[in-house]
Amino acid sequence: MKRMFLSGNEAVAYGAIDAGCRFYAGYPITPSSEIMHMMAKLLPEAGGVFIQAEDELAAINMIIGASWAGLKSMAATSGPGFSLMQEGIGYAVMTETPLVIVDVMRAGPATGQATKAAQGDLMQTRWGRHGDQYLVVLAPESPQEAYDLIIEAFNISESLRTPVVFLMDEFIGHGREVVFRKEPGEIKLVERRRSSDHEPLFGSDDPRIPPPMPRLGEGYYVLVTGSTHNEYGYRDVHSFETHYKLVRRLKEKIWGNIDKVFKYEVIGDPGRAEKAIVCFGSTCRSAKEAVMGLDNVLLIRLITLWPLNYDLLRELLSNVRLVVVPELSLGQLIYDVQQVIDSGIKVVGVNKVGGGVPIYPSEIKKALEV
Amino acid sequence: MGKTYVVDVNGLLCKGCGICSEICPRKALVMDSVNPATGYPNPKLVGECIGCKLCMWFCPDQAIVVVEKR
Amino acid sequence: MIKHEHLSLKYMRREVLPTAFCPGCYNGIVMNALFQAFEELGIYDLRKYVFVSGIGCSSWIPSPYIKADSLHTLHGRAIPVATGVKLANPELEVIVIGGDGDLASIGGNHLLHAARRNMDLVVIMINNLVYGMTRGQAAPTTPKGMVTPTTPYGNPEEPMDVARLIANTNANYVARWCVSQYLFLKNSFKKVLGEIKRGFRFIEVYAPCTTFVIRRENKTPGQKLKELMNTCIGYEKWEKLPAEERTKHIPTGVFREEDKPGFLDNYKQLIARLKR
Repeated sequence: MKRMFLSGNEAVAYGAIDAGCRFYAGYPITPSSEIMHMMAKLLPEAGGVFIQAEDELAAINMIIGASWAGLKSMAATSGPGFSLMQEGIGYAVMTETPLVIVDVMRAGPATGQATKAAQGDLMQTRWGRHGDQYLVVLAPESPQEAYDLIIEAFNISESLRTPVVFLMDEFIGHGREVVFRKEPGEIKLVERRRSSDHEPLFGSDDPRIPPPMPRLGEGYYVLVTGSTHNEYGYRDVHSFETHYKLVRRLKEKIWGNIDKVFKYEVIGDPGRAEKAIVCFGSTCRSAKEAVMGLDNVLLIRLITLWPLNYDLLRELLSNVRLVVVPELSLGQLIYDVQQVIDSGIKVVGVNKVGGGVPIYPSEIKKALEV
Repeated sequence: MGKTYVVDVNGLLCKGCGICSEICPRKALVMDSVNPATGYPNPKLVGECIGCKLCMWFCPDQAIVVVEKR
Repeated sequence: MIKHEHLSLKYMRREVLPTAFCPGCYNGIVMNALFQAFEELGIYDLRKYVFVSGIGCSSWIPSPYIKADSLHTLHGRAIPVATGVKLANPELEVIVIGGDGDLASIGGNHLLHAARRNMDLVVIMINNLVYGMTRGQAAPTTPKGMVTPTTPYGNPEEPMDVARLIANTNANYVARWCVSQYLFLKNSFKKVLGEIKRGFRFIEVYAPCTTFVIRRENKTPGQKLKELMNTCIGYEKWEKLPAEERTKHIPTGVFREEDKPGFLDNYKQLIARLKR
């Protein structure tokens, strides 16, 4: 264990290296650039490859290629770049390509406020792409958690053969705190399942078990396509059965593994609490301060934002009469909460965005007094 | 001098585009009747093949092979 | 009698033949030239070759017809995916096959920057002059005045000379051949697969779309092929033509040929410097 003083962005870079990431492609964009700077420095030393792409379209597609060639790969970006990456992320979902994409959120839409924190990309991480597609979204609340969780992000992406979106915001990206960096022996790493026999590379009997993934050049004559394909990779752009089977399996691969990927933190006693806060990312830090000394408030911090365990959230919120949802946006997570609570229970959003202004604990406290 | 050639046509691959018959410098290939298996006409050697292999190179469907007869 | 087999077939996935290409589509001829180049180089198994393509008719050549690893990627994104593959495993020879719309329009930026980096890729651009797969709309390579579904009154735009554009970058090898210039084309493939084995190697193949260009001219693919044998000329000869004659001819040839270090050589040098 090594004690360091890192920003969230730097912590992501160290975490990625420690997770075995050996390929990074990116395009400079505030407020995520420090991840790129660090990877440019760390990767050549670690025997990996760093490339500055001509745009985010190229960056996401470069890491897709590198992943198929066998390297754990990552790209980091922010809102406008994340928008450009959507088509590539959709391709990665369809081709079951393990990747980690970091989105350090800033105030949008469009160029918005490049240096100011926001949480308005939440829905985009889930639904930003066309068609039926599912992936995993994780969100840390601190540089330390950014370090630990990015390792987990790589493990999930490898074990489920899926892209994972790592959702931070400018406060975490640029906030600097003590981070304990692990030694190689202290980290549990998961690697994608390699092909043994000639099992199909795009199908499995149990949709929860992702098919194996060979490296290119191993003689499997791999057919990778973003078009609808059968379990051997052959394009089938006409049949209902092939398409329906494929998208159902891809959905079940994520939702069927919800127990493995859904992470959250609870402060307080769900049995006794009358009120609750549901939050993610940096706003949870204000929320945690707001609930100090209040024993009738339950704080639920979502670490996994997708797939979301709605049943669990419903159960946790079953006894409260008020839920406060603080967000650095005009309200997106609040829809998830509204979906799981009974009518009659009040849901209040605390929404602020722009100017780099945080949600203050006092504002959350005030909302709890309703 | 005295070399003769075999022109093999794979009727299942041929799509009857006619490139071979038009490109043949000796006009030795003609498009024949429709192949019932594919619905496309196939070429047929009617003249002398000089072994230039233009039909083989320019066959977009890998359906024609020219080899020297031994 | 022994049934003989086309040399190309050993490089192809037989189970998916015949191809989905239109009768007379020149894509198949490009395949023949490529496979003959492999055969003449003594390369019979493509397991160390990775083919990357985007969207369009020519992108279907590797996926699924070539028996090798292939990545059929998003429209325009073949070059970045290929870049990722090559950098992650330099042992693999990575070949991009795509059309003019895919590589020069929607993927134009990637093409320019891969050439600027002298990225270690072979890129084969089959220029069919239109967007064939979506019914022949105008592409950046469509000649001025040509009528297509998106240019019903004639194309008002000037076409792009992709090979000569790339020849003005840092690429190691740039050539253009008409599909009718089969031997030149095959020899160019041999050159970039067997001789110049690093850096960015770009080959444009001028091969008008059988269905949406040639048939609109009321010609057969065979007639057009014979016509191209006369209209495709060496660029030095082309440059001496009077202006009105130039538009009727296609300048072909090798526009650039070098064997300088590619991106990977430079990157390896950087790593070596770090270790010292």
